[in-house]
Amino acid sequence: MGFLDNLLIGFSISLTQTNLLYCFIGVFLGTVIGVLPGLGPTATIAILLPVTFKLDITSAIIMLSGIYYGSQYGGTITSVLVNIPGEAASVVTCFDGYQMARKGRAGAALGIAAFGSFIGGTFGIIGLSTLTFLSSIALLVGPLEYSALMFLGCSLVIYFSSKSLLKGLMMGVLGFLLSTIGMDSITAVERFTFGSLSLIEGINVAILAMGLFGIGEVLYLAEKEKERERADILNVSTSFFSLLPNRRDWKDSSLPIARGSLLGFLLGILPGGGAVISSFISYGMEKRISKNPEKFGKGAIEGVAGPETANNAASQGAFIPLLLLGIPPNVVAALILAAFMIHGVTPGPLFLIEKPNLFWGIVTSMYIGNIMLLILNVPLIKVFVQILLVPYSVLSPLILLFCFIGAYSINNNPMDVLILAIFGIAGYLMRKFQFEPGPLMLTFVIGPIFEKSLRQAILIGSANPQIFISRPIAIIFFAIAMYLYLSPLIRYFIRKHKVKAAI
Amino acid sequence: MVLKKDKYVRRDIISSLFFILLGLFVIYFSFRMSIWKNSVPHEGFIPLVLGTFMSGLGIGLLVFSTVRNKIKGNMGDSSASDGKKDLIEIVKSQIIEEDTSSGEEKVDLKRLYKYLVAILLYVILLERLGYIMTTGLFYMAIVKFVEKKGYFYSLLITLAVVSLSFLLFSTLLRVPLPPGILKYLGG
Repeated sequence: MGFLDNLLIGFSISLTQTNLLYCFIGVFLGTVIGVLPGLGPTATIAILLPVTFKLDITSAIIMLSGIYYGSQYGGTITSVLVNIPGEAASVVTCFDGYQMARKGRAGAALGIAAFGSFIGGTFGIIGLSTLTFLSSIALLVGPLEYSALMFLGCSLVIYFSSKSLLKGLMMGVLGFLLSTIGMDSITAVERFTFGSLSLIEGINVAILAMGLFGIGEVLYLAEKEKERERADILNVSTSFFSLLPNRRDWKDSSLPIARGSLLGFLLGILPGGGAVISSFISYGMEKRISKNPEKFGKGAIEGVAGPETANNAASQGAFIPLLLLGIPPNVVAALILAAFMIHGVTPGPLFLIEKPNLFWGIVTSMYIGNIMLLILNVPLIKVFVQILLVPYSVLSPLILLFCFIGAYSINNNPMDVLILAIFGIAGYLMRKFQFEPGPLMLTFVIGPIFEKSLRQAILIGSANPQIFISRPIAIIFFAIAMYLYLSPLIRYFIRKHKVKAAI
Repeated sequence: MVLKKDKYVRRDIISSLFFILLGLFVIYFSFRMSIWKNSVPHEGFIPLVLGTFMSGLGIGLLVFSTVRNKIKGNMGDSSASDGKKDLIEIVKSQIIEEDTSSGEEKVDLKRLYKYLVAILLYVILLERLGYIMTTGLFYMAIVKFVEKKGYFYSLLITLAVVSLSFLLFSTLLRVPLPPGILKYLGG
């Protein structure tokens, strides 16, 4: 079947009334949580995971994906109007977006960000639609290469997303350990259940995610004074026509948008790259190649257009390793992978062959979602700004409530609510002790797949260590990962050697 | 010289000890499972590897925290060698990064404890009192007594949240919420 046929099948699925509704709910919620500082796509997807249990898998994934890429749009609004990034990927937008708003050009900044996001997002989806051959390449590799690739993917995420490499690694190991609780998938022997029936099936991913990201975040914010204060919103015109960039804006932004699309997409594919890094790199690149770098930080539209395009292209690019290789390149993608697995579907090299309708349904829903976001964001920015006025005193207990009901609804068991509260306290302590829960969640989700592949590889190689030597691709992946972990020490010894040589 | 540990070092030492013990616990229970049989890794293999890593990383964190604390003490000492200063730079920037910003922030622990008590009570009362009663009490308690809003405002918000959430979850999403004492009222 050709590319166009696949797209048509996909649209026939994504354009059904139900899927359109869930796509809208996803992108709308995504924009809302993108606007709200402190509540990101990770917490929102975690809170909504139990809701997806009862949904059809296509609708569920369409909605969760919409939240992810929709949040990139919403994050811009607060960056420009309040100088507070609603999302980590919108931090750089504060530099020039807020300055533009102070000069009375908020409309142009928000407008170019929305159009840039649309173009970057669409570029990412086209890339996703055309790079499906990657899954056929992935089919050629064995379980050892697959586990090595997963190991490298996790290592990259830990390396790039953790403030402390050591602590990130500890969280990664802990997540993997938690994933071993329950019945072993190969020998069917119980591990760390201690006779508890509710632990035989392992820890529920939704309860863990809601506890760590939902309740943990609320508790952490409960003790913070500064973060709870609502910032002043710049009183600027956000009427429809003021949001349309003029000819000069388009001229200045067209090349940054083009570069941001390509850069964001490429970085989005790489594990650990993602929206945050791509927006920073895009900003740095635009500043470096600009004829007037002194304009940056004072309201240069290129400083808004490039990063905003890049972070959206990256969030779409992240679906390539997730859907085609089964490897989530970041924590949000790991939660979407968890939603797939809840429904008994594992994305990966065989996903496109086994579930083509689901794959193309999700991909085409992204085209629709991006158009919805453009329509929502340009004329309705004023409405979204009002969301910033919702006080934490109302929002915090609401998040807790959603988590409680979500946990209860999984098995109608109050024990699950207790487990949720325990994970919530653990999430709070992690933040307090400066451990990021992201790597834990990632390894918790892909831990069982990694373990299965690794044990299969050892079995195939009859436990002969030579199997590790005879597979060069796996060795390269493992070696890069080991270099990442040892790089601080390697750099230290190189520096020490240089100092000694100088003396 | 006795070094005073800063709060980050103290927290790192506590967490490192926790991870060392957790790792040892996992290793102990891994040995009670089958680890390797007939050239095939069994259910205890991965936990054993992970437990070993966990303890090792815990020891690593303990060592780095102690080193950081010691060198930090020497940083104020002008006689500290460049090598030591270099080492703390590496430890600080590459291994354990401090969140210096949070040190200046005001922290309201009372509010946190109140939230924790409210969560605990919600867990205990959910089955007994039922969804509507427990949620109403929980929301009212948080908005009125923890967040210190007015009675009318708190009541209004509570009523809105309880009725809308009940409508959303029970009626639309068909989640069987616990009726609690209300089931007796309904006969």
